[in-house]
Amino acid sequence: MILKANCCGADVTYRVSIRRMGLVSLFDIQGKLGDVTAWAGNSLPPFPDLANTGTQAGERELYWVGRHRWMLRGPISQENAINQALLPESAPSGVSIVIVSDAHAFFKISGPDADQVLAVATSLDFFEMPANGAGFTEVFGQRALIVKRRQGYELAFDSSYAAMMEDFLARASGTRC
Amino acid sequence: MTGLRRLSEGGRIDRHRPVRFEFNGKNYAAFSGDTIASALLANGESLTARSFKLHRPRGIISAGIEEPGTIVELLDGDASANQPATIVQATDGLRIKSVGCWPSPKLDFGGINQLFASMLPAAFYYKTFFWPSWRLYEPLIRRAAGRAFAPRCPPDGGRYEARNWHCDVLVAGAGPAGLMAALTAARSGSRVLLADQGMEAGGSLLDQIVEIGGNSAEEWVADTVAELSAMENVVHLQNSLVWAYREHNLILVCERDLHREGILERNWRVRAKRVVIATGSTERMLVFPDNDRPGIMLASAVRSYVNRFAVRPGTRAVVVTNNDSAYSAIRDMLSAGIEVAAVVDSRESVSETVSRGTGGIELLSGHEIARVFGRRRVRGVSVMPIEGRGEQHIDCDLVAVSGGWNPSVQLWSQSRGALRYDEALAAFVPGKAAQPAVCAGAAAGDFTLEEAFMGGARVGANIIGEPELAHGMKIPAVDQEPPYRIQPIWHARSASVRPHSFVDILNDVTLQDLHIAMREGFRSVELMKRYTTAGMGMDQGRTGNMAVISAIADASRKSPGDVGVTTFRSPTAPVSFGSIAGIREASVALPYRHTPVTEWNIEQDAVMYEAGARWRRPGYFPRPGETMQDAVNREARAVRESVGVYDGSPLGTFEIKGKDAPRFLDMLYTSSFSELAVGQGRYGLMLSDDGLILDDGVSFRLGKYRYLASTSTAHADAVYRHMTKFLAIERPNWEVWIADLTSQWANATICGPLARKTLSALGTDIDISRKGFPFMALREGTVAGFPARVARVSFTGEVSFEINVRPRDMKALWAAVMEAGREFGITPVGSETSHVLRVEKGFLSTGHEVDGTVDPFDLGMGWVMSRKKSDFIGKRSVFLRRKSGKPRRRLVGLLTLDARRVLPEGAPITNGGRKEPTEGFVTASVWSAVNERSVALALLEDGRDQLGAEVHIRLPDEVIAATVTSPCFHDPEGKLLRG
Repeated sequence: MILKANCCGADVTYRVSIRRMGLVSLFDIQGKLGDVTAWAGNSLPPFPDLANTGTQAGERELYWVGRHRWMLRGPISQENAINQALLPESAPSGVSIVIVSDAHAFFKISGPDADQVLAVATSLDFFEMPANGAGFTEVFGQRALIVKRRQGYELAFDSSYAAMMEDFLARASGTRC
Repeated sequence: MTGLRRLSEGGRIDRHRPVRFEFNGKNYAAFSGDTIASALLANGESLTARSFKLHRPRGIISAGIEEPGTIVELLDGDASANQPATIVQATDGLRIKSVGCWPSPKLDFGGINQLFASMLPAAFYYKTFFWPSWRLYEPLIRRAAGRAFAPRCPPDGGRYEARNWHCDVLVAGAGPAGLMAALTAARSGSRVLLADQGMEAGGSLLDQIVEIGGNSAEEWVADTVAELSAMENVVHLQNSLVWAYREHNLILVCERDLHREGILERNWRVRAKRVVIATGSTERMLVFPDNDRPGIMLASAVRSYVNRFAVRPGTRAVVVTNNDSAYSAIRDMLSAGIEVAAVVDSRESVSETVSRGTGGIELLSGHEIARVFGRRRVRGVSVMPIEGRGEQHIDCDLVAVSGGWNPSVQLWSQSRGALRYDEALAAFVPGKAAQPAVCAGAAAGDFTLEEAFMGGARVGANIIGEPELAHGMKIPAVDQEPPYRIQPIWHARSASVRPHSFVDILNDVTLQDLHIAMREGFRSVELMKRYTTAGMGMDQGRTGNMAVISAIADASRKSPGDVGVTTFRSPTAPVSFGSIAGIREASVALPYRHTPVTEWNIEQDAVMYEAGARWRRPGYFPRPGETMQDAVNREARAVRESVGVYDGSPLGTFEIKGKDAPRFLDMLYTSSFSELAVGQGRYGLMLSDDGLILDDGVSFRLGKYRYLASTSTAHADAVYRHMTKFLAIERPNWEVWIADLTSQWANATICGPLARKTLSALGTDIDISRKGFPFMALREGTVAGFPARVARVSFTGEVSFEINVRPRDMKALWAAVMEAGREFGITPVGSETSHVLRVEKGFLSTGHEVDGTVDPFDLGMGWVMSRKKSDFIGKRSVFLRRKSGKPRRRLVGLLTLDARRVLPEGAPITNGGRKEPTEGFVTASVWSAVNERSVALALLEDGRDQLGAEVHIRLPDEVIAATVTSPCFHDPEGKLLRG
């Protein structure tokens, strides 16, 4: 879905493109850093140094989203490969790895006015986000993963909220009244 | 020309852009840049409104947000109630009308109230209209006194928006001090948000003729705004009212006039590290008899209309003052061709420096207004010496009043900053700050332009922690002004003896009203405000508060500082609810959640509604011609007799892992999970610390340290919070990891005597025989070719297979289930039917039987309280409470004597159906198709001791008798669900 903002007969609206993305493979990884590193370190991008930021290795990204929590992201085509590399069911008791690919719906917001739309959506101070910022916050009142991109942002919501968020984003961008 | 009183040149209006608007059904011409007030004055209109209570003729009194005289209602596509005419921009096609009068201000039938004015003092409604009942009169009084009605529908042409913002410095007000503060802070690289309520920046500079550094003030403003606009770290908003200052430096700004963007109003929720309040000051009214007549206005307003809007509000004026500032207004009035007949100054003397340029005008020092002549428009005044006798009549059509100035401290007060009384200024000024905020310019009591510039630069530098920056700022050079002087005489002597001397013009509160209130003991300024309404309403008493305070001070022989001031509240001026709400409208007014088969449900014409935790679920699937009950009966019979399927995806699902996971679940639930075999599940109740049921669910063991826990749909979020809070606070050293998988697994639950056959027809590599897959077991494998986790749990009392798959596979699985089940008559089942099925079984439901007051024993579930475990959350509380031996409400079944009668859920049970304290209530009640009668569950005091007894359900119009039974109406031994 690509939204073009031209609602309500307005001359000027937000210059933004909003697109619902397809499935991405997503793994919720919990555990102490040492335990996670020992079990899965070779299969992961480098661990981020700063909370609420991400690192990248090839097509995979690792976001540090909680004290002992990371999200590993990759193309959906790599879901099985990642799963076989991480072996969630064999992981020791100190490491929890769970596939959550289906639990998240991703949206891409890009364009010169992406900040304007995000300002409607969240109270996060996204100007303070570093270029590799990634973390959970509240967007339209719901928990969401936000990832900063060069030309905008990606937002991931609980997939059950996807229809509502699509609606919300359309309204925030001015496409729907 | 756009009116009789428009000056031929000057002003900030755009004479090349004429506009026409309608006011009270009549068309008026104006220019872009006009307000409704300036346009009406330009067209020679003086009677523009009627007062709130007495319906006295009123005109335009100010030129800004403080307007107490003319409040208007915007109509049609611009619909908005109660806007001061002084801030509404005149735009082409705008339709507006006066509020609180009918049919018009010129002929207002409500004016009859003036005949009874003496019977309508402040708070009259507290003392009268009690016989036979206040309720009889209230609607009429409210209608007579009311202002504009709220619009019936939102305005056309756009949407509302609420957004968030962060900045280092928020500057409220773009007058001389605000612009200087913003410039100083912005040049240092700080993120600055500058917001100003005016149509354009400049504040008071737009209302006066002044040179800055040899150029006009407008040029300085334009240069400064251009510099600010060029900075990427600055957001500059005009037409933007800073309307609230909340805790933790949360500032709310309402931005208007965004029609080009398709936005009606935009509300900014700004988290500012620091705030500069540069909101200027407000001129005060003086109190004298009939000081509300059309043609009487603030001297600053006259100055604004002359200089900014090129409008002459009158032709022959009398100026009444107690301070120096009015003399600047006089000079501007003279320049605009207004004849000034006299200056009535309550002070004994005025310095020549102050009165320069006003030579030839009669200066009546030590005088005050005694009377005002003219009803619909001022025709003249009589003045008299303050000390002495003898009135002097002066013809005039304009009275310009200056009672001194109040720093605009509304935002400061909202920030909970202290206020102190400044004797020299005779005004309350900012004191100690409560949040990182500071006032600058006139808002800080610096009333001269030079002080404002210097104060703005100083504050702007200090607030970013770089005070030396102020020294580097070039302070604009302005002519030296004499310091502001005032002699605070608040009320004319005649005001105390003659009626209609208004202290609060907006609310029709007179000096006499205050005296009555004080005689009745209301001497606190806060009580006085609430008793008389003085200081309330849209203008927040900006022009009259000091008159109220001084009246109390005079009567109680205190200084105004000792009387104090009331706390200002947000909003500082009217703000639309729409802008506060933002885009929370229509389909996004409430959050909603979908499952992968929501679309399919809608295609089947299911009746959809929220069924807990924001999930939109099908209530039932009516066929053509079916009522809801028909559909529910059909669906329920299918589950009991053949097979049904429902979408169980919304059930809360969590994976819990860690070496402490077994004892964590043991602590969390009443049942024991550490002994559970891998692949098996167990039902448990989750209790709160006080031993009351929080939730229930089945948890399966996936591995030695790994479990899959399910929760109710409605309480999934609460359970997650409960679990994480317990780990974070009570057991921070336990190694437990929780992952929310609610949306990672979708499930289709097939249930009924033919469920096994249906699953077999679907195709699965799981052994689904009764022996190979017993009740309360979990198996992993494939179903219809999809990877699946299948659980044998039952919420219906029948054989059930809960087939969990990835949501990406759910639609295909659902289609396969419907296809495989076709030969068995599979029927989709909605939540209404699920409710019927669980009531027939007596299964608890959160929100019904679990209402936050019951423990497991109350529900007859003592068996779920594990005796093997030493402890679990809530255990001690349960047994402590039971030791008391006090009666408890316990779960029972109810069978109405009339089998066809379905009880209303929530209905109270009382002794004999009499109007007495309840003995319990009906928690759930349905028509049971399998029993062909109504059945109900209830919480009844000591209900288990009353099995077989007759109880009475009390309804508003009748009493229904029912027999108390065991709370299970189908397969009480539970053989079917284990089958």
